[in-house]
Amino acid sequence: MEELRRTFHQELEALRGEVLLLGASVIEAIPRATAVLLSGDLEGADYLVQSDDEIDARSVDIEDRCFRALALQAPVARDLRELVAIIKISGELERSADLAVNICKAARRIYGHPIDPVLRGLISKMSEQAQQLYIAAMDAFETNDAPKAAAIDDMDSFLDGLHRQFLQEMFEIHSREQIELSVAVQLAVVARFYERIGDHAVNVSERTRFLLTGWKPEHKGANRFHERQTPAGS
Amino acid sequence: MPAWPGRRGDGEGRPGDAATEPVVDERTVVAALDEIPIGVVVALPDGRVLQNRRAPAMTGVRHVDVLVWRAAQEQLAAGDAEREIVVAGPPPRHFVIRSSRLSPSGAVARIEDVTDRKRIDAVRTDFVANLSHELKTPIGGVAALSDALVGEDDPETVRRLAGRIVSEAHRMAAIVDDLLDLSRIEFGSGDMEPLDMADVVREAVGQQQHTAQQSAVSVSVSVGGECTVLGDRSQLVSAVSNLVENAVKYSNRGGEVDVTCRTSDGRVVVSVADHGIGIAAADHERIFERFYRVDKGRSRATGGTGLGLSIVRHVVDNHGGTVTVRSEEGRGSTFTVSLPSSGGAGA
Repeated sequence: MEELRRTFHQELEALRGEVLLLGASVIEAIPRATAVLLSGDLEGADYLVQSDDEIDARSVDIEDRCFRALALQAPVARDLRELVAIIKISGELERSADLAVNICKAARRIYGHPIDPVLRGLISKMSEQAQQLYIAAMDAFETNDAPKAAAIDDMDSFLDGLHRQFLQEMFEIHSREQIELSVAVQLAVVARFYERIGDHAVNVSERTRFLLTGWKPEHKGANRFHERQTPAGS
Repeated sequence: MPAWPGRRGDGEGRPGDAATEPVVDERTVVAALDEIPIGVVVALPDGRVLQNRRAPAMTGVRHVDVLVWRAAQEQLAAGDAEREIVVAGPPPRHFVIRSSRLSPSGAVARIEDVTDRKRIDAVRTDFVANLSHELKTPIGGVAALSDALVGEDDPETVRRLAGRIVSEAHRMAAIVDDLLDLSRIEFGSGDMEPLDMADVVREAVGQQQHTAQQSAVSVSVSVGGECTVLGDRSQLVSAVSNLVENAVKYSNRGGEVDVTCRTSDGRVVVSVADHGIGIAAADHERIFERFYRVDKGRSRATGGTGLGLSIVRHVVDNHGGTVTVRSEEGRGSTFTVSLPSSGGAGA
């Protein structure tokens, strides 16, 4: 029995290592995608699009290994939470890498169109902030730091603010007829991608809190649904 | 001291000879590997992996280290091979991982951070390419204009072509002058004397006032405290003048440039701030290199030689100071020069 648990914990450790590697790939993909967008580097865009296949494959492999461990080892308590958290985190990372690829695809669509310096500055800031959120989230996961994981939600509000500022600046530039509508639409979508990457980093930190403490985030929609299902006065 | 193994007699110290092979403690091997200033990962025949301290901590940035370490692990399986990986960071870094098979089995991977070497190579290559381009452009212009001039009879056209030849010649002369200035400055500062940096700033701003008026850019100067430094007046004026010239050049029409001179913690600090197009973070590291252009098209249109910031850096170095930039695209740039104060000597 003891030998079985040791093998299981070795596999759990290996899975954590794979999640860290996947996280590192995402942290790396964010500034690469931004460089592609700001410099119109089509070769760099191809590289990132192709690298995403490897990230997808690694994510699928992590899930398969987690399912196998769940089926064969019947884990309980923290071990169970850890496997469930890894499955969820792997999904968040895979989706974030997809968003980085989407930024590259948008860069291809607006290739040759200059981007206003103010918008370029804000894109750089959003990219930096999204990367910082992911660095903090993966750090909390690696070091089992629940307080740090809890702080990441607050950090995300800065990125949300930058997103709003970006849209406002773009509307102003568009009203001065200094940007084509099609380019403005692509850039608005790009800004949304950065904002979503930040949200995924927050989700990673919430899963980390769950695995460390059993804490679960509040689901407002689900709560409203349950309230509606419960008869008044009961 | 042990004997030189290559001079031993036949049959002594051969690999695989258990009687003569020394038994080395694993910790000793790892301690020896730790002394090597590159990352080393060794895959032993029994499946264990030894690594020195640097291998999993090449940069101290966790996600970069994870990527590099994983690449080294993969490389161990590749046999005799070399692989280069570039990580975006920031800052971007270049690594070379070389792996070799060990006899009779096992493998070793060496991880080397070649970022600095790559940067120096890039600076050297860019310098040669940029210098030849910067000189070739006006020379080509002069040649083409002269050709046109030879067969031209119309006095008005002759005057126009001659005027353009003169302006191209001036451009070439400006580049050569800046290069000579730079070369002189690299040798160190000339006559060091106590100077009031406020006077230096006013003189430099005065030099750029005409250009600023033409671009409808207003330049304001504010001075606070006793800003005395020990320095070479012409070099310092040239440095501040270059900063003001850039600030004016990259400001929007009707913009403002603020030049301040103050004292702070025993240093004299001169800041030149504009609200112009700004500089992308990725370029901050390289803008002080000779001929480095952030936006090649725009820089040539504004008529710079591409040597201004390089001159600034060398002048500041000569005076034991620092120059830093804070900039954001679309919001403007602030260049700050900090020099040791001479504490009012001779002021």
